[in-house]
Amino acid sequence: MVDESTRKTLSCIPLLKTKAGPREKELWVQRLKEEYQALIQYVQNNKSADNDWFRLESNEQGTRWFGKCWYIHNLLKYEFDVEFDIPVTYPSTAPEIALPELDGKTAKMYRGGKICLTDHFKPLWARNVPKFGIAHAMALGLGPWLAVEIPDMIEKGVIQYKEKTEG
Amino acid sequence: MTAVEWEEVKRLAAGFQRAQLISTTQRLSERNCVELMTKLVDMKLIDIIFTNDGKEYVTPQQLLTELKDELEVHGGRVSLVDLAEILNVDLSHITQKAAQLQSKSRNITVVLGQLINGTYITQLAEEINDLLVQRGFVSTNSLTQQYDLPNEFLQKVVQENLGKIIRAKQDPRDPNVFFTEAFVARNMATIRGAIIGIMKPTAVSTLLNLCGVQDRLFYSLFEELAKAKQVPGTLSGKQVSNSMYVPSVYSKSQSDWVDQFYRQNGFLEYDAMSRVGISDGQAYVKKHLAGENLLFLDSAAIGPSVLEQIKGAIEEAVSTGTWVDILPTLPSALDTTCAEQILVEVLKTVKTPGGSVPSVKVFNSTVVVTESFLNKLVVPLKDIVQQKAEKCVSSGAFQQWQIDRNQTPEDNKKDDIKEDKVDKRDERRKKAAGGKVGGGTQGRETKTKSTKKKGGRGGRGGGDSDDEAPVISSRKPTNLEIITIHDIISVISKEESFRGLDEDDKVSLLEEIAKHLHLSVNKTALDVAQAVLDSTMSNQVGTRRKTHHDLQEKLNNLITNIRLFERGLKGFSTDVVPPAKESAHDQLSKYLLKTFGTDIANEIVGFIAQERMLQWDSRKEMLQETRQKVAQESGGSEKEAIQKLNKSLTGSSLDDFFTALDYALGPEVCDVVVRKPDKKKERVMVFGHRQALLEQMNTSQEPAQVLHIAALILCQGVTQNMLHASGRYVNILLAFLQPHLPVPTFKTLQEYYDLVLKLLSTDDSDESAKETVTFQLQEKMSVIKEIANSFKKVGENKE
Repeated sequence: MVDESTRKTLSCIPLLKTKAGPREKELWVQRLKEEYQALIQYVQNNKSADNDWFRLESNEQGTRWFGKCWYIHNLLKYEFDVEFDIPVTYPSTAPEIALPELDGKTAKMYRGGKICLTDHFKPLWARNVPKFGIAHAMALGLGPWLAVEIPDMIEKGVIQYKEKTEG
Repeated sequence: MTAVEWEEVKRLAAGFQRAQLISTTQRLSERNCVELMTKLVDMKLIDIIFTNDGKEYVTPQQLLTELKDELEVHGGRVSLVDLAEILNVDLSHITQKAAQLQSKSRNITVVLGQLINGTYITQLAEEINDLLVQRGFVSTNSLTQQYDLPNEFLQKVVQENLGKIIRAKQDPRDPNVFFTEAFVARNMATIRGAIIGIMKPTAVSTLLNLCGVQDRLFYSLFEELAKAKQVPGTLSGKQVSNSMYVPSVYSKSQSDWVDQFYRQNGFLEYDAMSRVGISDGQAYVKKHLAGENLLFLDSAAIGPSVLEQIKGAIEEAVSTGTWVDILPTLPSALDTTCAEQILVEVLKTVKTPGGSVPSVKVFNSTVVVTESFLNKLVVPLKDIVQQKAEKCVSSGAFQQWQIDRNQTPEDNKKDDIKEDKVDKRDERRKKAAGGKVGGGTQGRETKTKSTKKKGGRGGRGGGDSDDEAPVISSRKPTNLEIITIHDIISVISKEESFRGLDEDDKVSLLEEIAKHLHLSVNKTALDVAQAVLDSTMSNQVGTRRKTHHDLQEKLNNLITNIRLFERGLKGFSTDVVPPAKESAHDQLSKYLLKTFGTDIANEIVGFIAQERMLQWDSRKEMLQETRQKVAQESGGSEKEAIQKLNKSLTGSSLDDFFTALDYALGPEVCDVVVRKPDKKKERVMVFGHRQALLEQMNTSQEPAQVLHIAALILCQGVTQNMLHASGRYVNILLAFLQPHLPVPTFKTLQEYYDLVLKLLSTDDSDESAKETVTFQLQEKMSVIKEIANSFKKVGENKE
């Protein structure tokens, strides 16, 4: 089950209406617009809550997304690259978010650095097609995963803190 | 259209980027803030005070400001607890800050958990002043209640503002009390008025009630007044509620009264003093009249002038040898007990003109009687003493008393002359037993215990009379009282100087004196009686010889008679003739013993009794028992003699009687010489007896008597001896005469006898028969007389 703060976060993200994948040109635009709107809202929400934790951008068609995400542990900011493609069956299928840097460093990860999402995520997503979008995937998928796995990995010494210039 | 759409997507993407790139607002979470603050406080970089809920912080400076503000808002007085609530800060911080505030600013103080500033104190002082103006006085105690502030604080407030805001002054005795000048002046005036107005001692409490002044104020004001010499009196008791105010006018009038009374009367009575309000009279007098030489009695103090007066009276009485009652001399207020005490004192100082201690007696508590006066009183008593003593001796009471006294075992050998010695021994014994001083006195008391009621005075009076009044032993159960108290009273009441007295006083005084005199007078009387008895005793030696002689004479006569009669009896037969139980001889001898024999025995017993000083009554008829009693009491040979006599008297044998008589008359008992029978004398006696009988017969008119006597005469004529027989034995006599007389003569006698019997046996009712018999008897009487008379002649002729 999703924790309380996640649920609260989730409720603040606007729901999407259009059900369209990248193949359906006309509707995809519509869908993409809604995606962006949801993401803007989510980011704004995060910023206002002093909880900004990722940077994301996409290609022109909006089929491939990439950027960075970070997690602060013991006052140290651990930053990782994040990337994922919009599947063709999107939005029925949830996007597979990957952290290539961490590939092979943890068991909770598929080949190619795709994160292993919780058992809850998929049914939840399936139930909410087409209302959930990228923003929801970030908030429900990557956020909780980071919060669980990163401190564990730091503990194990799998990942070391690297001084980053970019703040 | 699609292009437009894409354009829009691009725009949105750019917007998204922009949205991501704008810096995040640097917002601290509450948690962070708390952490930060903790860190800062830990590092001591900031000084803050947490609120009660811990969500807010206040800097100390702010808190101080807020405290001040709140104080102002609450009108200068606010409780720290209230502040803690209002400011939502812990009480400890508030208290701490309040203390800081107090130390920093002079105006603000913390009292009893309350913050108070200067304005409030000023206001308080003004209020107190108002109160003072209203009431005149105020005590911080009451203010404490009113303002709920501690006494010390209030007192400080008042003292600080005294003379500034508060116009009053502090009570020097009680720093808690303040009052205004006006109030003091008013109270002082009240008190002054009250104490000036008071005329008698008053309890301070009453005084306070009257003028409504508080007692603590009263005492200070009273002192002030006293200093100003405005108090006409004194306060007794040391400032306690029961102290008394005594106006000087009262004490002055008291002392004036005492002075005046003493000057006028020469004494002071405590009773009277208590009436004017002096409770402890004696102490007062001692203090007040310290210089005077006073005599303190139980109920009065006596001045020397009164004592002098009494002394004078007594001295006068002593010098003139009379008596004086000091009670009239004394002031009437003094009673007998006082008089008694005074008398005791005065008698210590009184001297005779010669300078010696006068011999006086005190009677009736107040009457002083000189010894010479008493002696004077005794003089007229002498006659009556003499009379009474003689009477006493002659009546035998004195002898009786002596005998009684002698019978008490200890004293029976003592005679009167040795009596003093006996008394002393008795006295000693008594002292040992009674333990009381003055055995002599006691003896006297015992003696007169029935009538005399003696106080201490009697004891004292008796003490010095011991020497002149020898005491009669009081051990004797009865004491002979020749002179009674009553006798003495009746004599001494004739004394001139007692005339003036009223009856009651006189009676009691006379009684006292009589009691006093009674002893000595009675002693004198006893002496006189003894003297009288002695003189009579010496007479008795003579009389005794005479009585013995008389006895001898009498006994001789009687014995001669009885011998003659016995001889007369010899002619009678001793044969027992029936029907009589005894012979004629026996009957007659019995009769003889009963008459003459008894007479002789009585004479002898009487003589013995008298010799032995036994009690017996010579006038009474002496009976067998009396004789027996005398025999028992006399003892020795006399007892034996009397008993023998007694025994022989009951028998019928004259010989036995004579034997007993001989023994009784013997030298051991009566020592009576019995004369030899004288023939010639006997004949004269026989003749005399006959003549006497004849005379008796001739003068008698009684037939029975005539016959009796005639028979006796005839018998005497026959036997030439005297015969003693009563009328009962006439027939025996006749029987005896029968052979010696001519027949007609005897017949005449016999007839006459029958007639007499007939007369005696005739009933009173048979008047006529009696008369005839009497007549016959009268008729024949002359014949009988003739027979007797003539027979004499025959007898004489025969001779």
